[in-house]
Amino acid sequence: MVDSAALAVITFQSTVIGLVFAALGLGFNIVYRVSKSINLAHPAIVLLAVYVTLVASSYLASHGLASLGFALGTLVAAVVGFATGVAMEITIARPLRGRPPVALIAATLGAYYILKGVAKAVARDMWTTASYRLPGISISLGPVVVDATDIAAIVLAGGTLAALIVLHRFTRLGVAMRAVAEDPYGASAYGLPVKTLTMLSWGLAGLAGALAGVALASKTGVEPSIDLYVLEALAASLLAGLDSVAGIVVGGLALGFVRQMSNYFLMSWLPGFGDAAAFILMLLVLLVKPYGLFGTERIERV
Amino acid sequence: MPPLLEVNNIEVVYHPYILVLKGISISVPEKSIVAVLGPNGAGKTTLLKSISGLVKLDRGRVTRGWIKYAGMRIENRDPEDVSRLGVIYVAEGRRIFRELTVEENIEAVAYAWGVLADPELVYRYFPRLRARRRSRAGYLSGGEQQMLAIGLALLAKPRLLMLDEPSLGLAPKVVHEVYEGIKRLHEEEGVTILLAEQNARKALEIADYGYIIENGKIVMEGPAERLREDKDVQEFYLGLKKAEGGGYRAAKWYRRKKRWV
Repeated sequence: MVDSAALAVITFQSTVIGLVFAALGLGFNIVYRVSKSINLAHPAIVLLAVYVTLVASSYLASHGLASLGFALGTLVAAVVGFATGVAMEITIARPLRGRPPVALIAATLGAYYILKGVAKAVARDMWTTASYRLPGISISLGPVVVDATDIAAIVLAGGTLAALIVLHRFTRLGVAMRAVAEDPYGASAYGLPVKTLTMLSWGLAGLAGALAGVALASKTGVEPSIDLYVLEALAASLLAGLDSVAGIVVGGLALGFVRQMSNYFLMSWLPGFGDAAAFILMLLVLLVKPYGLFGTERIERV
Repeated sequence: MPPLLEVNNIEVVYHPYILVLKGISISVPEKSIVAVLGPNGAGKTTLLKSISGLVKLDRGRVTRGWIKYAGMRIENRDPEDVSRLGVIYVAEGRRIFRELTVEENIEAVAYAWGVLADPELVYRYFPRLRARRRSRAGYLSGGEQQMLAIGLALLAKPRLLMLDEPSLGLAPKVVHEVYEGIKRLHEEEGVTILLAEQNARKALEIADYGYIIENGKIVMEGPAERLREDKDVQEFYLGLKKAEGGGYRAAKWYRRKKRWV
């Protein structure tokens, strides 16, 4: 039988990893909304940010700022993520506006390899497995032990999600971004700064990817193949509906739970089935709701 | 005084080779209402889109002639820039943000215009929308959607408002209500209006001057009252003449129609 202590631990871990998945997937959704395309370079932005944080924090540590290293490194990664998103919008998305979405998807695949190369160049001899230097805190809540990696992941992923969802839903800027996402053509006729808002959306997607990446790497450790988790997070995006921003939290948590639970319960006879289980869930949901759980089905008045 | 908008002999080409407008010239004096009439596919929408710069988004461009607005050349400019100059285009088919509520639609457009935009303006001209503030725009009736579309354009404080088929797909009673709103905002806000319509009767009721476009060319123009009186316009666009039936009339109709083109 499953004991309740193990269940508590696994629930907690599912929630943490679910939040991280949600934050990782958020970038896909933000870009999809404005450019109607899947940004295949998003995993590489995450990868780049993860190594930028590592390099920056070790640089700061060697200059006697070890205690601030992680925080400042994260900040640098956030700036890099934002700038990368903006650069991609200017160089790829803007010239391909009005072309079939497939062209943009292909272009982002190219950008994926370029950014991966940049990440390697930034990391140099640190292009290996490593982990962030985090303070050795740990808090016991009954059977659940919360350590610094959990706190970093929750704060970064949760904060990113909360900030961007509030921005989208409740600010004038967010409403304008939603208008541009729905109909860029009409928006420019009414004088909305479509170019700026599209660029800002890509930038925010990059920023979200960077922060989520650091959250992920604090849990899993830094490794060159960390971008594979981001592809997995695409399942959370599809599950939620690619054009839904708030729905991603549900999508991410569902993915986290299914993944961790099936890993735990199926470990003995189907090891490593967790990732597949997440995608099976996604397929089942898409069969019933092709736009995802929260995706907008276009309103048609009858 | 030169007119607010002057379109001089423009040609518009889509996708490098498709010629849509073949040398069109119109002139819109300040504070007037000018109607552009013509059948489906004549080029009315393309004309308005080339003024607003939106042809660019369809990969079209003005290849000959020029467009002058308030003394500035504006052909082939970005739509955002043109709208900044006070030229606002309300697309056909009631272009609004369907997923947003009425209030959010207004907020989004007001965001673009900052403090200049007064959200109350929309409700003042189309009071019906106030009761629907919190409903999603996609669920409004056709007339309400058209009112919202025109209302959103008003937020931009346009000097030249271009309306594309505001009567399309609306019941006659609703068309009347929409047109009342247009007339009022023309009188009270002093907006110059360029109107593209298939509903010639309605357009000529409020317009000062009219152009008739067929096949990318202007086939007739004149003050609205003269167009209303014109035999051909009455027959082809106002549907006044009774059909005499038979093949002979159809052939004659075709010949007379040809004469313009």
